[in-house]
Amino acid sequence: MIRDITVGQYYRTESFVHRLDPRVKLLGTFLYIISLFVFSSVPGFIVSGALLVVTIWASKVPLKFILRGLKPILLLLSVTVLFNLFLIKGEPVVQFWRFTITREGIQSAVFLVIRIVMLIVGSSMMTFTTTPNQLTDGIESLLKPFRIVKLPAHEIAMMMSIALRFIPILLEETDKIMKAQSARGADFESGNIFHRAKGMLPILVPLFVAAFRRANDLAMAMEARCYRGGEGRTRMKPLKYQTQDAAAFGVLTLYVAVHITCKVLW
Amino acid sequence: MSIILDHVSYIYEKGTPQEHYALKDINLVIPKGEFIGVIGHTGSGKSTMMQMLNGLIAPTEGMVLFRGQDISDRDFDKKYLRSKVGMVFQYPEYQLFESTVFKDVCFGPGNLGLDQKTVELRAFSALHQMQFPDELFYQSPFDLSGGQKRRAAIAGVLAMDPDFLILDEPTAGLDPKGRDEILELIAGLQKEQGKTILLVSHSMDDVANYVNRILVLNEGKLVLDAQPAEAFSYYKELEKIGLAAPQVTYIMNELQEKGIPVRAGATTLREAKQEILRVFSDNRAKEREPIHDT
Ligand SMILES: Nc1ncnc2c1ncn2[C@@H]1O[C@H](COP(=O)(O)OP(=O)(O)OP(=O)(O)O)[C@@H](O)[C@H]1O
Ligand SMILES: [Mg+2]
Repeated sequence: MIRDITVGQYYRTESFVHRLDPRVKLLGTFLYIISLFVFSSVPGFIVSGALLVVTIWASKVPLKFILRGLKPILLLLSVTVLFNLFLIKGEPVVQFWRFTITREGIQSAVFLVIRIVMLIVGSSMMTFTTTPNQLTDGIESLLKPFRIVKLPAHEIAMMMSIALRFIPILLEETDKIMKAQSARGADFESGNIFHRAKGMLPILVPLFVAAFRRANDLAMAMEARCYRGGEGRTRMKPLKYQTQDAAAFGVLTLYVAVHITCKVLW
Repeated sequence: MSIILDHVSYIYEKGTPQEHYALKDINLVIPKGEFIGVIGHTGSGKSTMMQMLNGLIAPTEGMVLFRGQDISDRDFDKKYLRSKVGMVFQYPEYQLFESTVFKDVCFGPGNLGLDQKTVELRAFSALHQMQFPDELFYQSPFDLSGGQKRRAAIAGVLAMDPDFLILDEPTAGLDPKGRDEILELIAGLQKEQGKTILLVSHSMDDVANYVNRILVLNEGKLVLDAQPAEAFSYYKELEKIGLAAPQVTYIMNELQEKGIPVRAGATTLREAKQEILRVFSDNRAKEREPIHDT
Protein backbone atom coordinates (compact mmCIF):
# COMPACT_ATOMS: atom_id res chain seq x y z
CA MET A 1 0.00 0.00 0.00
CA ILE A 2 2.76 2.42 0.99
CA ARG A 3 4.60 1.54 -2.19
CA ASP A 4 1.52 2.43 -4.25
CA ILE A 5 2.10 6.14 -3.76
CA THR A 6 3.84 7.15 -6.94
CA VAL A 7 3.06 10.87 -6.99
CA GLY A 8 6.28 12.86 -6.91
CA GLN A 9 8.44 9.94 -7.95
CA TYR A 10 10.82 9.84 -10.87
CA TYR A 11 10.39 7.05 -13.41
CA ARG A 12 13.74 6.27 -14.95
CA THR A 13 13.66 5.65 -18.68
CA GLU A 14 14.80 7.21 -21.93
CA SER A 15 12.22 9.23 -23.88
CA PHE A 16 11.49 12.47 -25.66
CA VAL A 17 9.70 13.92 -22.65
CA HIS A 18 12.52 12.91 -20.32
CA ARG A 19 15.04 14.77 -22.45
CA LEU A 20 13.06 18.03 -22.54
CA ASP A 21 14.36 21.05 -20.68
CA PRO A 22 12.77 21.16 -17.22
CA ARG A 23 11.65 24.75 -17.81
CA VAL A 24 9.56 23.62 -20.76
CA LYS A 25 7.96 20.92 -18.65
CA LEU A 26 7.29 23.29 -15.77
CA LEU A 27 5.73 25.93 -17.99
CA GLY A 28 3.83 23.27 -19.89
CA THR A 29 2.39 21.81 -16.71
CA PHE A 30 1.47 25.27 -15.46
CA LEU A 31 -0.26 26.06 -18.72
CA TYR A 32 -2.01 22.71 -18.73
CA ILE A 33 -3.40 23.16 -15.21
CA ILE A 34 -4.70 26.62 -16.03
CA SER A 35 -6.28 25.31 -19.22
CA LEU A 36 -8.15 22.63 -17.25
CA PHE A 37 -9.91 25.35 -15.29
CA VAL A 38 -10.38 27.92 -18.04
CA PHE A 39 -11.61 25.54 -20.74
CA SER A 40 -13.78 23.24 -18.68
CA SER A 41 -16.28 22.12 -21.26
CA VAL A 42 -16.63 18.88 -23.21
CA PRO A 43 -14.49 20.01 -26.17
CA GLY A 44 -12.02 21.60 -23.77
CA PHE A 45 -11.58 18.30 -21.94
CA ILE A 46 -11.14 16.45 -25.21
CA VAL A 47 -8.32 18.78 -26.25
CA SER A 48 -6.64 18.60 -22.82
CA GLY A 49 -7.08 14.83 -22.77
CA ALA A 50 -5.48 14.58 -26.18
CA LEU A 51 -2.38 16.45 -25.01
CA LEU A 52 -2.19 14.23 -21.95
CA VAL A 53 -2.45 11.05 -24.00
CA VAL A 54 0.24 12.27 -26.41
CA THR A 55 2.53 13.18 -23.49
CA ILE A 56 2.04 9.82 -21.80
CA TRP A 57 2.72 8.04 -25.05
CA ALA A 58 5.86 10.09 -25.71
CA SER A 59 7.15 9.63 -22.16
CA LYS A 60 7.14 5.80 -22.27
CA VAL A 61 5.93 5.66 -18.67
CA PRO A 62 3.65 2.61 -18.42
CA LEU A 63 -0.03 3.40 -17.91
CA LYS A 64 -0.21 0.91 -15.05
CA PHE A 65 2.42 2.85 -13.13
CA ILE A 66 0.57 6.14 -13.70
CA LEU A 67 -2.78 4.74 -12.64
CA ARG A 68 -1.31 3.29 -9.48
CA GLY A 69 -0.67 6.85 -8.35
CA LEU A 70 -4.40 7.55 -8.50
CA LYS A 71 -5.31 4.88 -5.96
CA PRO A 72 -4.66 7.00 -2.86
CA ILE A 73 -7.03 9.74 -4.07
CA LEU A 74 -9.93 7.37 -4.77
CA LEU A 75 -11.55 8.19 -1.45
CA LEU A 76 -11.31 11.92 -2.04
CA LEU A 77 -12.77 11.42 -5.50
CA SER A 78 -15.74 9.39 -4.33
CA VAL A 79 -16.59 11.90 -1.61
CA THR A 80 -16.59 14.81 -4.06
CA VAL A 81 -18.70 12.83 -6.49
CA LEU A 82 -21.31 12.05 -3.81
CA PHE A 83 -21.48 15.65 -2.66
CA ASN A 84 -21.91 16.90 -6.19
CA LEU A 85 -24.49 14.28 -7.11
CA PHE A 86 -26.81 14.92 -4.21
CA LEU A 87 -26.33 18.50 -3.20
CA ILE A 88 -26.54 20.42 -6.44
CA LYS A 89 -30.00 21.75 -7.22
CA GLY A 90 -31.54 21.69 -10.66
CA GLU A 91 -33.55 19.53 -12.97
CA PRO A 92 -34.23 16.17 -11.21
CA VAL A 93 -33.30 12.98 -13.02
CA VAL A 94 -33.55 10.25 -10.38
CA GLN A 95 -35.54 10.54 -7.17
CA PHE A 96 -35.67 8.10 -4.26
CA TRP A 97 -36.61 8.55 -0.61
CA ARG A 98 -35.17 11.95 0.26
CA PHE A 99 -32.48 12.08 -2.38
CA THR A 100 -32.61 13.71 -5.75
CA ILE A 101 -29.99 13.44 -8.39
CA THR A 102 -30.08 16.34 -10.78
CA ARG A 103 -28.80 16.77 -14.29
CA GLU A 104 -26.57 19.58 -13.13
CA GLY A 105 -25.31 17.39 -10.29
CA ILE A 106 -24.29 14.61 -12.64
CA GLN A 107 -22.62 17.04 -14.99
CA SER A 108 -20.67 18.76 -12.26
CA ALA A 109 -19.62 15.42 -10.70
CA VAL A 110 -18.36 14.08 -14.02
CA PHE A 111 -16.52 17.32 -14.78
CA LEU A 112 -14.93 17.31 -11.36
CA VAL A 113 -13.68 13.75 -11.64
CA ILE A 114 -12.24 14.39 -15.07
CA ARG A 115 -10.60 17.57 -13.90
CA ILE A 116 -9.04 16.06 -10.76
CA VAL A 117 -7.80 12.97 -12.56
CA MET A 118 -6.30 14.99 -15.40
CA LEU A 119 -4.81 17.42 -12.91
CA ILE A 120 -3.09 14.70 -10.91
CA VAL A 121 -1.98 12.65 -13.89
CA GLY A 122 -0.80 15.77 -15.71
CA SER A 123 1.28 17.10 -12.87
CA SER A 124 2.71 13.70 -12.00
CA MET A 125 3.80 13.36 -15.63
CA MET A 126 6.21 16.18 -14.88
CA THR A 127 7.72 14.50 -11.82
CA PHE A 128 7.78 11.08 -13.52
CA THR A 129 9.96 12.48 -16.28
CA THR A 130 12.09 15.05 -14.44
CA THR A 131 14.66 14.31 -11.78
CA PRO A 132 14.44 16.42 -8.63
CA ASN A 133 17.73 18.07 -9.58
CA GLN A 134 16.46 19.16 -12.96
CA LEU A 135 13.24 20.32 -11.38
CA THR A 136 15.09 22.57 -8.95
CA ASP A 137 17.23 24.04 -11.67
CA GLY A 138 14.13 24.70 -13.73
CA ILE A 139 12.22 26.33 -10.88
CA GLU A 140 15.16 28.43 -9.92
CA SER A 141 15.74 29.64 -13.42
CA LEU A 142 12.06 30.46 -13.91
CA LEU A 143 11.84 32.34 -10.61
CA LYS A 144 14.95 34.40 -11.29
CA PRO A 145 13.13 37.42 -12.74
CA PHE A 146 11.24 37.72 -9.44
CA ARG A 147 14.43 38.46 -7.59
CA ILE A 148 13.69 42.12 -8.17
CA VAL A 149 10.90 41.81 -5.60
CA LYS A 150 13.33 40.04 -3.17
CA LEU A 151 12.04 36.55 -3.89
CA PRO A 152 14.65 34.00 -2.66
CA ALA A 153 14.49 31.92 -5.84
CA HIS A 154 17.38 29.63 -5.04
CA GLU A 155 16.23 28.89 -1.53
CA ILE A 156 12.68 28.12 -2.62
CA ALA A 157 13.93 25.80 -5.33
CA MET A 158 16.32 24.07 -2.94
CA MET A 159 13.61 23.53 -0.35
CA MET A 160 11.25 22.08 -2.90
CA SER A 161 13.83 19.73 -4.31
CA ILE A 162 14.81 18.48 -0.88
CA ALA A 163 11.17 17.86 -0.02
CA LEU A 164 10.68 15.93 -3.24
CA ARG A 165 13.88 13.99 -2.77
CA PHE A 166 12.76 12.90 0.68
CA ILE A 167 9.38 11.50 -0.31
CA PRO A 168 10.68 8.08 -1.38
CA ILE A 169 13.10 7.97 1.55
CA LEU A 170 10.34 8.62 4.05
CA LEU A 171 8.14 6.04 2.37
CA GLU A 172 10.90 3.48 2.64
CA GLU A 173 11.42 4.43 6.25
CA THR A 174 7.70 4.04 7.00
CA ASP A 175 7.84 0.61 5.44
CA LYS A 176 10.73 -0.43 7.67
CA ILE A 177 9.11 0.94 10.81
CA MET A 178 5.83 -0.80 10.05
CA LYS A 179 7.70 -4.06 9.64
CA ALA A 180 9.63 -3.62 12.87
CA GLN A 181 6.42 -2.91 14.80
CA SER A 182 4.49 -5.72 13.12
CA ALA A 183 7.28 -8.03 14.21
CA ARG A 184 6.43 -6.98 17.76
CA GLY A 185 2.81 -7.92 17.25
CA ALA A 186 1.45 -4.47 16.36
CA ASP A 187 -1.81 -4.56 14.47
CA PHE A 188 -2.65 -1.70 12.13
CA GLU A 189 -5.72 -3.14 10.47
CA SER A 190 -8.32 -4.12 13.03
CA GLY A 191 -10.28 -2.17 15.63
CA ASN A 192 -12.36 1.00 15.45
CA ILE A 193 -11.06 4.33 14.25
CA PHE A 194 -9.74 5.48 17.65
CA HIS A 195 -8.00 2.19 18.14
CA ARG A 196 -6.39 2.49 14.74
CA ALA A 197 -5.36 6.09 15.29
CA LYS A 198 -3.64 5.03 18.48
CA GLY A 199 -2.06 2.18 16.59
CA MET A 200 -0.38 4.71 14.31
CA LEU A 201 1.64 6.14 17.18
CA PRO A 202 4.34 3.44 17.10
CA ILE A 203 4.87 4.35 13.44
CA LEU A 204 4.63 8.12 13.63
CA VAL A 205 7.01 8.65 16.54
CA PRO A 206 10.01 6.85 15.00
CA LEU A 207 9.15 8.37 11.63
CA PHE A 208 9.29 11.91 12.97
CA VAL A 209 12.42 11.19 14.96
CA ALA A 210 14.04 9.82 11.82
CA ALA A 211 12.89 12.77 9.73
CA PHE A 212 14.33 15.31 12.14
CA ARG A 213 17.56 13.38 12.40
CA ARG A 214 17.80 13.24 8.64
CA ALA A 215 17.11 16.94 8.28
CA ASN A 216 19.79 17.67 10.84
CA ASP A 217 22.32 15.40 9.15
CA LEU A 218 21.57 16.91 5.77
CA ALA A 219 22.00 20.46 7.06
CA MET A 220 25.28 19.44 8.64
CA ALA A 221 26.51 17.75 5.47
CA MET A 222 25.63 20.83 3.41
CA GLU A 223 27.47 23.09 5.87
CA ALA A 224 30.46 20.78 5.80
CA ARG A 225 30.65 21.26 2.05
CA CYS A 226 30.44 25.04 2.44
CA TYR A 227 26.94 25.51 1.10
CA ARG A 228 25.99 29.15 1.44
CA GLY A 229 23.00 29.70 -0.80
CA GLY A 230 22.72 30.50 -4.48
CA GLU A 231 24.85 33.65 -4.69
CA GLY A 232 27.52 33.22 -7.35
CA ARG A 233 26.92 29.50 -7.69
CA THR A 234 27.67 27.96 -11.07
CA ARG A 235 26.29 24.72 -12.46
CA MET A 236 27.74 21.50 -13.67
CA LYS A 237 24.94 21.14 -16.19
CA PRO A 238 23.69 24.61 -17.16
CA LEU A 239 20.23 24.65 -18.69
CA LYS A 240 20.17 25.30 -22.44
CA TYR A 241 17.21 25.15 -24.77
CA GLN A 242 17.55 22.59 -27.60
CA THR A 243 15.64 22.03 -30.82
CA GLN A 244 13.35 19.54 -29.14
CA ASP A 245 12.35 22.23 -26.64
CA ALA A 246 11.36 24.49 -29.52
CA ALA A 247 9.23 21.63 -30.83
CA ALA A 248 7.61 21.23 -27.42
CA PHE A 249 6.88 24.95 -27.25
CA GLY A 250 5.32 24.61 -30.69
CA VAL A 251 3.05 21.84 -29.42
CA LEU A 252 2.05 23.96 -26.42
CA THR A 253 1.23 26.96 -28.59
CA LEU A 254 -0.83 24.76 -30.86
CA TYR A 255 -2.57 23.37 -27.78
CA VAL A 256 -3.60 26.81 -26.57
CA ALA A 257 -4.62 27.84 -30.07
CA VAL A 258 -6.87 24.79 -30.48
CA HIS A 259 -8.41 25.44 -27.09
CA ILE A 260 -9.25 29.04 -27.98
CA THR A 261 -10.62 28.06 -31.38
CA CYS A 262 -12.87 25.47 -29.75
CA LYS A 263 -14.06 27.97 -27.21
CA VAL A 264 -14.89 30.52 -29.91
CA LEU A 265 -16.59 28.04 -32.24
CA TRP A 266 -18.79 26.37 -29.58
CA MET B 1 8.19 -27.36 15.43
CA SER B 2 10.45 -26.05 12.73
CA ILE B 3 10.50 -23.51 9.93
CA ILE B 4 10.72 -24.89 6.42
CA LEU B 5 11.42 -22.92 3.26
CA ASP B 6 10.27 -24.76 0.17
CA HIS B 7 11.49 -23.42 -3.19
CA VAL B 8 11.16 -19.86 -1.97
CA SER B 9 11.83 -16.89 -4.26
CA TYR B 10 11.23 -13.22 -3.70
CA ILE B 11 10.99 -10.39 -6.22
CA TYR B 12 11.20 -6.74 -5.18
CA GLU B 13 9.14 -4.11 -6.98
CA LYS B 14 7.34 -6.64 -9.11
CA GLY B 15 5.74 -5.09 -12.13
CA THR B 16 8.13 -2.15 -12.47
CA PRO B 17 11.29 -1.87 -14.55
CA GLN B 18 13.30 -2.08 -11.32
CA GLU B 19 11.93 -5.55 -10.58
CA HIS B 20 14.61 -7.97 -9.45
CA TYR B 21 15.06 -11.24 -7.60
CA ALA B 22 16.24 -10.82 -4.01
CA LEU B 23 15.93 -14.56 -3.29
CA LYS B 24 15.99 -17.45 -5.70
CA ASP B 25 14.77 -20.97 -5.03
CA ILE B 26 15.76 -21.33 -1.39
CA ASN B 27 15.24 -24.70 0.31
CA LEU B 28 15.90 -24.87 4.00
CA VAL B 29 14.85 -26.57 7.22
CA ILE B 30 15.38 -24.74 10.51
CA PRO B 31 14.79 -27.14 13.39
CA LYS B 32 14.50 -26.11 17.00
CA GLY B 33 17.55 -25.49 19.17
CA GLU B 34 20.16 -24.61 16.55
CA PHE B 35 22.41 -21.58 16.45
CA ILE B 36 22.60 -20.64 12.80
CA GLY B 37 24.84 -18.01 11.26
CA VAL B 38 23.77 -16.33 8.02
CA ILE B 39 26.53 -14.72 5.99
CA GLY B 40 26.64 -13.13 2.57
CA HIS B 41 27.92 -10.11 0.72
CA THR B 42 25.94 -6.90 1.12
CA GLY B 43 22.76 -7.12 -0.96
CA SER B 44 22.82 -10.91 -1.09
CA GLY B 45 19.33 -11.20 0.39
CA LYS B 46 19.98 -11.95 4.06
CA SER B 47 17.57 -9.38 5.48
CA THR B 48 14.95 -10.35 2.91
CA MET B 49 15.16 -13.99 3.90
CA MET B 50 14.94 -13.14 7.60
CA GLN B 51 11.82 -11.03 7.08
CA MET B 52 10.21 -13.93 5.31
CA LEU B 53 10.66 -16.24 8.29
CA ASN B 54 8.12 -14.40 10.41
CA GLY B 55 5.72 -13.48 7.68
CA LEU B 56 6.61 -9.80 7.28
CA ILE B 57 6.88 -10.41 3.57
CA ALA B 58 5.28 -13.26 1.69
CA PRO B 59 7.29 -15.29 -0.82
CA THR B 60 6.61 -14.49 -4.48
CA GLU B 61 7.10 -18.16 -5.32
CA GLY B 62 7.27 -21.20 -3.06
CA MET B 63 6.11 -21.66 0.52
CA VAL B 64 7.27 -20.91 4.02
CA LEU B 65 5.96 -23.50 6.48
CA PHE B 66 5.72 -23.08 10.23
CA ARG B 67 4.59 -26.12 12.18
CA GLY B 68 3.62 -27.65 8.88
CA GLN B 69 1.30 -24.78 7.95
CA ASP B 70 1.79 -22.41 5.04
CA ILE B 71 2.22 -18.95 6.56
CA SER B 72 0.77 -17.25 3.48
CA ASP B 73 -2.56 -19.00 4.05
CA ARG B 74 -5.43 -16.67 4.65
CA ASP B 75 -6.44 -18.31 7.92
CA PHE B 76 -2.93 -18.61 9.29
CA ASP B 77 -2.55 -16.75 12.59
CA LYS B 78 0.23 -14.23 11.88
CA LYS B 79 0.19 -12.89 15.40
CA TYR B 80 0.92 -16.34 16.76
CA LEU B 81 3.77 -16.73 14.29
CA ARG B 82 5.27 -13.41 15.35
CA SER B 83 5.06 -14.32 19.01
CA LYS B 84 7.01 -17.51 18.26
CA VAL B 85 9.47 -16.08 15.75
CA GLY B 86 11.03 -12.91 17.12
CA MET B 87 12.87 -10.55 14.82
CA VAL B 88 15.38 -7.88 15.76
CA PHE B 89 16.01 -5.54 12.86
CA GLN B 90 19.28 -4.20 11.55
CA TYR B 91 18.64 -0.70 12.94
CA PRO B 92 16.95 -0.53 16.34
CA GLU B 93 15.97 3.13 16.00
CA TYR B 94 13.15 2.01 13.74
CA GLN B 95 11.21 0.45 16.56
CA LEU B 96 11.71 2.56 19.70
CA PHE B 97 8.84 4.97 20.21
CA GLU B 98 7.55 5.05 23.80
CA SER B 99 8.33 7.66 26.44
CA THR B 100 10.43 5.26 28.51
CA VAL B 101 12.53 2.21 27.72
CA PHE B 102 10.44 0.08 30.03
CA LYS B 103 7.17 1.02 28.33
CA ASP B 104 8.73 0.36 24.99
CA VAL B 105 9.78 -3.14 25.99
CA CYS B 106 6.21 -3.73 27.24
CA PHE B 107 4.84 -3.01 23.76
CA GLY B 108 5.57 -6.46 22.31
CA PRO B 109 4.18 -8.64 25.11
CA GLY B 110 1.29 -6.16 25.51
CA ASN B 111 0.25 -6.90 21.93
CA LEU B 112 -0.02 -10.59 22.77
CA GLY B 113 -3.03 -9.92 24.98
CA LEU B 114 -1.36 -10.87 28.27
CA ASP B 115 -2.42 -9.20 31.52
CA GLN B 116 -0.53 -6.12 32.71
CA LYS B 117 1.36 -7.96 35.44
CA THR B 118 2.75 -10.65 33.16
CA VAL B 119 3.67 -8.02 30.60
CA GLU B 120 5.68 -6.03 33.13
CA LEU B 121 7.32 -9.12 34.55
CA ARG B 122 8.42 -10.19 31.11
CA ALA B 123 9.71 -6.71 30.30
CA PHE B 124 11.72 -6.65 33.50
CA SER B 125 13.24 -10.05 32.97
CA ALA B 126 14.03 -9.32 29.31
CA LEU B 127 15.81 -6.08 30.21
CA HIS B 128 17.70 -7.91 32.95
CA GLN B 129 18.66 -10.69 30.61
CA MET B 130 20.09 -8.13 28.21
CA GLN B 131 21.96 -6.63 31.18
CA PHE B 132 20.38 -3.29 30.55
CA PRO B 133 21.41 -0.86 33.30
CA ASP B 134 18.62 -0.46 35.90
CA GLU B 135 19.00 3.29 36.23
CA LEU B 136 18.10 3.76 32.55
CA PHE B 137 14.79 1.83 32.68
CA TYR B 138 12.72 4.99 32.82
CA GLN B 139 14.83 7.07 30.44
CA SER B 140 13.54 8.08 27.05
CA PRO B 141 14.77 5.48 24.53
CA PHE B 142 15.91 8.33 22.29
CA ASP B 143 18.46 9.50 24.84
CA LEU B 144 20.33 6.19 24.87
CA SER B 145 23.63 5.43 23.19
CA GLY B 146 23.67 3.18 20.13
CA GLY B 147 24.65 0.11 22.13
CA GLN B 148 22.01 0.73 24.79
CA LYS B 149 19.38 1.23 22.10
CA ARG B 150 20.40 -2.10 20.63
CA ARG B 151 19.97 -3.82 23.98
CA ALA B 152 16.60 -2.19 24.53
CA ALA B 153 15.48 -3.24 21.06
CA ILE B 154 16.56 -6.84 21.58
CA ALA B 155 14.85 -6.87 24.99
CA GLY B 156 11.68 -5.59 23.30
CA VAL B 157 11.60 -8.70 21.15
CA LEU B 158 12.85 -11.06 23.84
CA ALA B 159 9.99 -9.98 26.11
CA MET B 160 7.61 -11.73 23.71
CA ASP B 161 9.41 -14.98 24.62
CA PRO B 162 9.84 -16.32 21.07
CA ASP B 163 11.11 -19.83 20.34
CA PHE B 164 12.99 -18.60 17.30
CA LEU B 165 15.02 -15.43 17.57
CA ILE B 166 16.29 -13.73 14.43
CA LEU B 167 18.94 -11.06 14.82
CA ASP B 168 19.93 -8.97 11.83
CA GLU B 169 23.45 -7.75 12.54
CA PRO B 170 22.86 -7.17 16.24
CA THR B 171 26.46 -6.15 16.87
CA ALA B 172 27.02 -3.63 14.07
CA GLY B 173 28.53 -0.47 15.49
CA LEU B 174 29.30 -1.86 18.94
CA ASP B 175 32.66 -1.86 20.70
CA PRO B 176 34.42 -5.24 21.10
CA LYS B 177 33.31 -5.66 24.71
CA GLY B 178 29.69 -4.78 23.99
CA ARG B 179 29.77 -7.09 21.00
CA ASP B 180 31.08 -10.04 23.00
CA GLU B 181 28.60 -9.39 25.79
CA ILE B 182 25.62 -9.37 23.46
CA LEU B 183 26.80 -12.48 21.62
CA GLU B 184 27.36 -14.29 24.94
CA LEU B 185 23.86 -13.34 26.05
CA ILE B 186 22.41 -14.60 22.80
CA ALA B 187 24.38 -17.84 23.01
CA GLY B 188 23.04 -18.26 26.56
CA LEU B 189 19.47 -18.05 25.25
CA GLN B 190 20.19 -20.97 22.97
CA LYS B 191 22.05 -23.11 25.51
CA GLU B 192 19.86 -22.52 28.55
CA GLN B 193 16.42 -21.97 27.08
CA GLY B 194 16.76 -24.02 23.91
CA LYS B 195 15.82 -21.11 21.65
CA THR B 196 16.72 -21.30 18.00
CA ILE B 197 18.94 -18.40 17.01
CA LEU B 198 19.50 -17.03 13.53
CA LEU B 199 22.32 -14.54 13.47
CA VAL B 200 23.07 -12.39 10.44
CA SER B 201 26.60 -11.11 10.69
CA HIS B 202 29.44 -9.69 8.66
CA SER B 203 32.02 -10.89 11.17
CA MET B 204 33.34 -14.31 10.27
CA ASP B 205 35.06 -14.56 13.65
CA ASP B 206 31.80 -13.99 15.52
CA VAL B 207 30.03 -16.53 13.36
CA ALA B 208 32.78 -19.11 13.84
CA ASN B 209 32.85 -18.59 17.59
CA TYR B 210 29.18 -19.13 18.26
CA VAL B 211 27.17 -20.91 15.60
CA ASN B 212 26.87 -24.60 14.80
CA ARG B 213 25.59 -24.16 11.27
CA ILE B 214 26.34 -21.63 8.57
CA LEU B 215 24.15 -20.50 5.68
CA VAL B 216 25.92 -18.67 2.87
CA LEU B 217 23.88 -16.50 0.53
CA ASN B 218 25.14 -15.13 -2.75
CA GLU B 219 23.02 -13.04 -5.11
CA GLY B 220 19.84 -14.43 -3.59
CA LYS B 221 20.88 -18.06 -3.78
CA LEU B 222 21.71 -20.36 -0.89
CA VAL B 223 25.13 -21.55 -1.99
CA LEU B 224 26.29 -23.35 1.15
CA ASP B 225 24.68 -24.88 4.22
CA ALA B 226 27.25 -26.57 6.45
CA GLN B 227 28.96 -26.68 9.82
CA PRO B 228 31.55 -23.95 10.41
CA ALA B 229 34.62 -26.17 9.93
CA GLU B 230 33.38 -27.42 6.60
CA ALA B 231 32.00 -24.07 5.47
CA PHE B 232 35.24 -22.22 6.10
CA SER B 233 37.32 -24.90 4.44
CA TYR B 234 35.92 -23.37 1.26
CA TYR B 235 37.53 -20.06 2.11
CA LYS B 236 38.87 -19.56 -1.41
CA GLU B 237 35.35 -19.84 -2.83
CA LEU B 238 34.00 -17.61 -0.07
CA GLU B 239 36.51 -14.94 -1.01
CA LYS B 240 35.23 -14.97 -4.56
CA ILE B 241 31.77 -13.94 -3.33
CA GLY B 242 33.02 -11.14 -1.13
CA LEU B 243 33.38 -13.11 2.10
CA ALA B 244 36.29 -14.59 4.01
CA ALA B 245 37.15 -17.12 6.69
CA PRO B 246 38.01 -16.35 10.33
CA GLN B 247 41.56 -15.10 10.87
CA VAL B 248 42.68 -18.34 12.54
CA THR B 249 41.66 -20.38 9.51
CA TYR B 250 44.15 -18.39 7.45
CA ILE B 251 46.87 -18.84 10.04
CA MET B 252 46.29 -22.59 10.20
CA ASN B 253 46.34 -22.89 6.43
CA GLU B 254 49.59 -20.96 6.20
CA LEU B 255 51.16 -23.11 8.91
CA GLN B 256 50.17 -26.14 6.92
CA GLU B 257 51.73 -24.69 3.76
CA LYS B 258 54.95 -24.07 5.69
CA GLY B 259 55.09 -27.79 6.35
CA ILE B 260 53.89 -27.88 9.93
CA PRO B 261 51.53 -30.87 10.19
CA VAL B 262 48.48 -29.07 11.64
CA ARG B 263 44.98 -29.94 10.50
CA ALA B 264 43.60 -26.79 8.87
CA GLY B 265 40.00 -27.19 10.03
CA ALA B 266 40.19 -24.90 13.08
CA THR B 267 37.81 -21.96 12.97
CA THR B 268 38.05 -20.58 16.50
CA LEU B 269 40.97 -19.46 18.61
CA ARG B 270 40.45 -22.31 21.06
CA GLU B 271 40.45 -25.02 18.40
CA ALA B 272 43.56 -23.52 16.84
CA LYS B 273 45.33 -23.45 20.17
CA GLN B 274 44.52 -27.09 20.86
CA GLU B 275 45.65 -28.13 17.41
CA ILE B 276 48.94 -26.25 17.61
CA LEU B 277 49.65 -27.61 21.10
CA ARG B 278 48.90 -31.12 19.87
CA VAL B 279 51.42 -30.77 17.06
CA PHE B 280 54.00 -29.37 19.46
CA SER B 281 53.62 -32.20 21.93
CA ASP B 282 53.76 -34.75 19.11
CA ASN B 283 57.00 -33.16 17.92
CA ARG B 284 58.49 -33.21 21.36
CA ALA B 285 57.59 -36.87 21.76
CA LYS B 286 59.27 -37.61 18.44
CA GLU B 287 62.42 -35.68 19.43
CA ARG B 288 62.67 -37.71 22.59
CA GLU B 289 62.25 -41.06 20.89
CA PRO B 290 65.74 -41.40 19.32
CA ILE B 291 67.33 -40.61 22.67
CA HIS B 292 65.45 -43.50 24.24
CA ASP B 293 66.66 -45.85 21.51
CA THR B 294 70.37 -45.26 22.06
N1 LIG C 1 12.55 -2.42 0.00
C1 LIG C 1 13.26 -2.80 -1.07
N2 LIG C 1 12.87 -2.45 -2.31
C2 LIG C 1 13.56 -2.84 -3.39
N3 LIG C 1 14.66 -3.59 -3.36
C3 LIG C 1 15.12 -3.98 -2.17
C4 LIG C 1 14.44 -3.60 -0.95
N4 LIG C 1 15.11 -4.13 0.09
C5 LIG C 1 16.15 -4.79 -0.44
N5 LIG C 1 16.16 -4.70 -1.78
C6 LIG C 1 17.13 -5.34 -2.71
O1 LIG C 1 17.12 -6.73 -2.49
C7 LIG C 1 18.42 -7.26 -2.47
C8 LIG C 1 18.68 -7.96 -1.16
O2 LIG C 1 18.61 -7.04 -0.10
P1 LIG C 1 18.82 -7.42 1.43
O3 LIG C 1 18.45 -6.23 2.23
O4 LIG C 1 18.08 -8.67 1.72
O5 LIG C 1 20.39 -7.67 1.48
P2 LIG C 1 21.32 -8.02 2.74
O6 LIG C 1 21.95 -9.31 2.40
O7 LIG C 1 20.55 -7.93 3.99
O8 LIG C 1 22.41 -6.87 2.68
P3 LIG C 1 23.19 -6.12 3.89
O9 LIG C 1 24.30 -7.01 4.30
O10 LIG C 1 23.72 -4.88 3.23
O11 LIG C 1 22.21 -5.84 4.97
C9 LIG C 1 19.35 -6.08 -2.73
O12 LIG C 1 19.70 -6.12 -4.10
C10 LIG C 1 18.53 -4.87 -2.43
O13 LIG C 1 18.91 -3.81 -3.27
MG1 LIG D 1 20.59 -6.65 5.68
